[in-house]
Amino acid sequence: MGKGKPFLEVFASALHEDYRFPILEIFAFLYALGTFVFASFGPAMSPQAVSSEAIAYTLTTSLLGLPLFIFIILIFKNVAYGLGNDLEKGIIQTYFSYPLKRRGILTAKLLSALGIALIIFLAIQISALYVLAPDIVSPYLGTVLLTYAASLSFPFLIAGIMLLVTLALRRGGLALVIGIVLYFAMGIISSIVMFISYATDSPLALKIISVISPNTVLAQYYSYGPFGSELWTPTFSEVLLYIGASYVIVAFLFFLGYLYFSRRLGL
Amino acid sequence: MKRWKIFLGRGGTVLIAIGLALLLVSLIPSAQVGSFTVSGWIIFPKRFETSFEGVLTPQQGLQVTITANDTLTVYILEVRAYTLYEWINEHHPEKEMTFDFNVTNLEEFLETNPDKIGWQKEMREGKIEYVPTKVTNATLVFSNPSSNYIRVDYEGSMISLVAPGTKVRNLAQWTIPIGFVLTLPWLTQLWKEKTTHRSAQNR
Repeated sequence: MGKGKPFLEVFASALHEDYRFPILEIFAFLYALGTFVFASFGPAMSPQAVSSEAIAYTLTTSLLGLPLFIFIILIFKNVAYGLGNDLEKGIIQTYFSYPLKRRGILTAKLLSALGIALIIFLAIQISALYVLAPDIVSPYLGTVLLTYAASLSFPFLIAGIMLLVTLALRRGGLALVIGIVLYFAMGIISSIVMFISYATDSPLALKIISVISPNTVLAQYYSYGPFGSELWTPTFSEVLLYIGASYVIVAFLFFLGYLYFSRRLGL
Repeated sequence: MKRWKIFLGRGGTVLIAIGLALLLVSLIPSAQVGSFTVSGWIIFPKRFETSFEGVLTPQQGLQVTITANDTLTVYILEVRAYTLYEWINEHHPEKEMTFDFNVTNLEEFLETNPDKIGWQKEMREGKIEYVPTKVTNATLVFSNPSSNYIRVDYEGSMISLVAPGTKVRNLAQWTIPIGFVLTLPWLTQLWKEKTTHRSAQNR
């Protein structure tokens, strides 16, 4: 048996566990519905007053309320319960008997938990956006993708933390609670940081928060922050730098997860 | 059960779910936001007039019902009226800026900027519903290419909608049947398995 087949076996098993009928269908329905219902083109201002790129950003951001929250619930459930249950019930030991390295098993699990969820989320949302406003999405697809990249970085960061907690505790319940608490805490922290920046007239706090939640820097770039561009006007290179830095942190957390799963997980 | 059947089947059920969401979206009615009525407006021969001007988005369109005593050419241009006046003034500096321009000037503008025509139709009476695919300025223009005076009555309103209804409904009409076709082998297999299981239990 080659390496591909056991990988696919684990992947298929993870898919079956993560997306039991009709979970996937419900999420697909909500993504499609949410895209149209929550889409907003911002205030009815003359297109000359606002750049088309900023309109594309506003439109994409408007979709990242409830649909993004639904996506986050799905990935948190998959990471915490998908992996947590396998560890708790000993199913992971069955996978260890496969001729597949531990990192291969974790990759298959994460590909199902995060990869498939992400592909479905982006495919449905971007297609729906295209149906709604093709003349905004087509020429500014880069802006749309950049907005998604900036907004998805923090959920992936929490997913990375949840992965570590799940592996350390070998159960997913607490990891799920930690993930949800962190997600809501970030909303509160972001508001506090805004006020601190405003009160001290220094963008330092905004810059720090942008490293883990780069949609702050993107909002500043498009001058949609509460205090606009007066406080901090990052350049496009800075935006890319912050987004890149946030994904480096995310990658590091997942690397730790892989390291722990491969070497430290005493099973 | 073979994996490809499950894969196609689940793909099909996802398509059905998306189709149902689209169908639901297409059923949400549009709402009227602000309206305007003009009656007894006279368009001079070989002249054009601009009317409604505003910003439209893919979720905010324009609906106008027109009744005239002769055939007019109605345009919705994706520019502000001022842009049109300015262009005419620039290209015809000999003429003073007024609110009724020669049809040939409008035609010149349209020949130079064909991408600015959002909608165009020769009509005597009827209903226009225009929803752009981007955020754009919009100006309603009535052009009278004939040698007669034309009297126009019209009622218009801005419409607020969740999504372009026809487009979304058409998509739903495709995705749901495709979804069903993809799901059929999976459902058939599930049904067979259930029947086999039941008959085994009855023995």
